[in-house]
Amino acid sequence: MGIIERVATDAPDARALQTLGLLTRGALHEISNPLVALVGTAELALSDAEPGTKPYDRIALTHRTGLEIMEIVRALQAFIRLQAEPETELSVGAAAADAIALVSKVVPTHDTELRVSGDAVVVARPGETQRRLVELLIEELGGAERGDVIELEVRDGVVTASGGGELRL
Amino acid sequence: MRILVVDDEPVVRELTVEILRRSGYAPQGVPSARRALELLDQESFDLVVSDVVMPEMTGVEFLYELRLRRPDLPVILMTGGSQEPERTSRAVQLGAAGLLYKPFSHAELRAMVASALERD
Repeated sequence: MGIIERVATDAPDARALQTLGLLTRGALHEISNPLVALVGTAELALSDAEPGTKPYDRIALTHRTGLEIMEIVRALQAFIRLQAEPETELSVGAAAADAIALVSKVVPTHDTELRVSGDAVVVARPGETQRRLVELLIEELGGAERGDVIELEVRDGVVTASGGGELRL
Repeated sequence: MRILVVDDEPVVRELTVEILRRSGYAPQGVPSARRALELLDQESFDLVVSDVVMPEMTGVEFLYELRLRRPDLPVILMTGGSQEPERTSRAVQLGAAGLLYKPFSHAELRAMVASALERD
């Protein structure tokens, strides 16, 4: 049984995860204003600083770091927004690529390469599809070694992971 | 071009004003939608950039009020993006010129402002 299946069958764990989800959603909102301030102020300070000086380099580092955090926050916000999207015709290959982009941003992949091959078109809710693909990727990452390649092969509405996991859409 | 920036968060408001000022616009910041409506009754602006989540009157309620008073004035709404899907879809229905998801970069703010003013 995979990590997510185990959690889903354990009621207290499932409730804790639900609560964590609500807290994360709130935190993503609360962190957005400080991030605007951090990255925005760093960008203004960068344009005022003299290139090649230590202050410039330090501000540039602050700016880059802020942008990295911003990317994580935005990826999670986009995931949440996607959950409200209605059922539609969608490319599973593109959805898998999006799921890989999200997981690569927010989960430590330890040099594991994630990739997708093939494609299929299904009618589904984009948010639910991405959520299930993310779960599959996290399961696969749980059993992967550093430097492994995890490939999601899409064929006829079925996503098969190289580690053995499968998702039927 | 005169731009009214409405945000109850002082750091974001002042920063947005400064970015727009450095981009060649004439921005003015106010801390609430009510203050913005008062100002809009007295002065003319080419664009409004407003936060969504604000106490007293939300950005969407503000947009609704503005549509009654100044139907042609373009409005960009800034939103956290994960907390208020109903509010943002209502904003689209009311004809917001753009939704700017926080956190945003200077380039994204400038591009959305330029696009909203161009359409106008």
